[in-house]
Amino acid sequence: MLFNSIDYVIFLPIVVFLFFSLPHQYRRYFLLAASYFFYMCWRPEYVLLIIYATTIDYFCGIEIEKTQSKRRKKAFLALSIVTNLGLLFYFKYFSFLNESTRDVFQFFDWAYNMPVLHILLPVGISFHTFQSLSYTIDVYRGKAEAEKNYVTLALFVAFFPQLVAGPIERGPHLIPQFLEEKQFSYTRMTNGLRLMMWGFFKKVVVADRAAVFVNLVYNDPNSYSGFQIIIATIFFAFQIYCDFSGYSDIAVGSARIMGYNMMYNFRRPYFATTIKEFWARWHISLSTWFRDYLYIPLGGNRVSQPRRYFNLFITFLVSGIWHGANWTFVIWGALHGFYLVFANFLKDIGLTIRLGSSKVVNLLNYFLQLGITFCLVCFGWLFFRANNVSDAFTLIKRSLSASKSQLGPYLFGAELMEDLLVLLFFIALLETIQLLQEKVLSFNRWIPTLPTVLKWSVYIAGILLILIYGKFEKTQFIYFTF
Amino acid sequence: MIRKLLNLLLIFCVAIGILLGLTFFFSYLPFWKNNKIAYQQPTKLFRLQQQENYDVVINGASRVNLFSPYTNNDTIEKILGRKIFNLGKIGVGVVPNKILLQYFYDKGNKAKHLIQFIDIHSLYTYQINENSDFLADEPFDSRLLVLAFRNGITNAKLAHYYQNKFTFSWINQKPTDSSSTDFRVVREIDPEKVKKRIDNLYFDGVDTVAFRYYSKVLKELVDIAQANQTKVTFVLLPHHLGKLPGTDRVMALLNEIKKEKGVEIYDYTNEPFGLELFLDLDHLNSNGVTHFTANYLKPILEKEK
Repeated sequence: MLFNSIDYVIFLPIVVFLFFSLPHQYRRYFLLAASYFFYMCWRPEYVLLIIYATTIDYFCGIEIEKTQSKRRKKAFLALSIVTNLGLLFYFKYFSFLNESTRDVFQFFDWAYNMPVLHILLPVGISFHTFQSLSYTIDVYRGKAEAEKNYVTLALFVAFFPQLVAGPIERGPHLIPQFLEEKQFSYTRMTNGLRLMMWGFFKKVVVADRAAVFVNLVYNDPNSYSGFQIIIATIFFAFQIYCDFSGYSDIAVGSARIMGYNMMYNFRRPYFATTIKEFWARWHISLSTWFRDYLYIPLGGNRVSQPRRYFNLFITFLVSGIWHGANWTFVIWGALHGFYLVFANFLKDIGLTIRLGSSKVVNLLNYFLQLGITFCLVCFGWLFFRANNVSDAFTLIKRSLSASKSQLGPYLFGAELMEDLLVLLFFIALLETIQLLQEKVLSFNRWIPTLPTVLKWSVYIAGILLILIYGKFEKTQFIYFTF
Repeated sequence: MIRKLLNLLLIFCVAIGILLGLTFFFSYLPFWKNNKIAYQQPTKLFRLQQQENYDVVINGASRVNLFSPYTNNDTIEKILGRKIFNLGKIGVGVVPNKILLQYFYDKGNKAKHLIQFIDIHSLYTYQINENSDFLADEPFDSRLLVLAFRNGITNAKLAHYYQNKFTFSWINQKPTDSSSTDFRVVREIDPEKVKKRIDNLYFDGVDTVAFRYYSKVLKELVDIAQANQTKVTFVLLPHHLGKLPGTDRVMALLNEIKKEKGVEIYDYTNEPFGLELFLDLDHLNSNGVTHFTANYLKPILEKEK
């Protein structure tokens, strides 16, 4: 079920109503049933994968906690890791590896008989397997207690707001919340609805509008000029941000209505002035997951300088592979790894450029850093969005030939001019609101303090904006496919 | 608490009310601004009045729509000596045809005769049926919206129906020049272009499941017309695309409807129409429309009087 569908608009109020109507002890069962139903709307049989992984992790968690033997603990942890990563590998990476091996064999003219398997990728598999994995690792590390109630653990893995695209929650944060008795709160509900409205605005008004231009260019790179490619890449930066953070806002908002607090996944990432800061603001639940379960176990910062660079690079390379089974994602991950290693290297050798310390220079410096970071991120997005590596290099080659002469009166044709202007207006509106939120005030705190008439006007304007300028084409969220 | 929840519901209702008001206002703004918009626009509803009596209503896709722009509508009315309303629209199949016909009757209009032009591909393709954007260039009318919703038009297209009223291109639209004529002529039959055109028309291939469903829709369309005392005739226009995929199945269906409901069929697909009568491989130009009306449509109407 998609958040941006009529189905969800009907599903959520029914779930919320029944949730608060039921006695506390039945709510977890009900939420689990609702979550499985939510997932089964896509492909019913794939819910068995979630149940299978949950069951293994349930027993592994209990056994890890119960046993005193380190070897047994390790064996159960290994079982959990193999189960989760095995599912992920089979459904997500097997075909990619198979095809890549075939290409290598063909290059050397060797025989390769492994057949092509057409495996349908289960929606959100990377998210729920990582969430499930974090639970057993936390139990192994003694950071979390093993959950004795199967339904509670199953709900932690499958809780519908975050099941298919995160945020990737941690057991110690979410599981205790399922045990608390939740009371209906009007304030919390309006808070959740406001967040959902903001999420819908980002998804259907900005992301899906930007997608029109991005798809046009990226699906036919040879037909567009360098300038159009650059514009489309910038639009993709906003598309992916609004698509994913819009999803996260709707997820966090939906959970909040029922009284559950989930972590924020984004903190205005395009206001970052370094790549390191970008990763502290972008897909926070995933970057902290990789930090805690990969970077630190590899040695983190407490190793030699070359090893630290290696750890950093490997972490981002794996992050790239996590996003998708395609060489474009591998390059994207490697590119970000390289950015960070390079930045660390410059810092380590003490190379910093200071332009001065006056207010004006500081401001200029801030915008320069902001611009450079955004350009580097956009360059990465080019690989992320390209359909294949060859397309990515075509896009780079053509964008290097961008010139003023390519600027026609309409850029993408007269028939798309109005859509282009509307999109530019909404990107400007989004960035203005985000700038105010970054520097001045939180809208979510400010709006409730307004006089009723003004508050109502803001809500009505928000609803109208979404209904009039939203695209309702049932487009999937980009991260559903990861 | 209940009061607060009702407040939220009220906010939503007020937003919907404002949306409807604004949609209606912007919908008719070009009509008011331009005094009246002639039928030459793709828009049908600006022209369609209530409680009118027509001799003939013609229905179909873009090839039928071409019977009205420029001076074509006046020409065919003059040749036939009858009052005509053209429901044909660009990029539509039998589902939009059925919706527009139902809407025509719902407004209290009457017609003695319905000429339903059949496009073979329209019985196979979802893109020009449920996913057709035929509402976008029509002024907003809740009755039409409900009809479209009931007939399974996609949410995206239903949303685009009202959203399109908030665009500059809608608000600034002007009546087209009704004194000109379209004499564009296709020069040659390029096999590459024929193949490309067929691929375009059969967007979803020759889908037999879709065909079964759209066959039912076509029968319902006939039922609607006959329930309103309108005589129905199926006509197939000539083209230069050769034998189209799925033709035999469609012809069998038309013959079945002929038997069941007494509908006459006139198949002019293979009539010798020269290239000078076409503006492209399958659309008649103004000369073609005049020629077809005088030599084919008129005899049909005379015969079926």
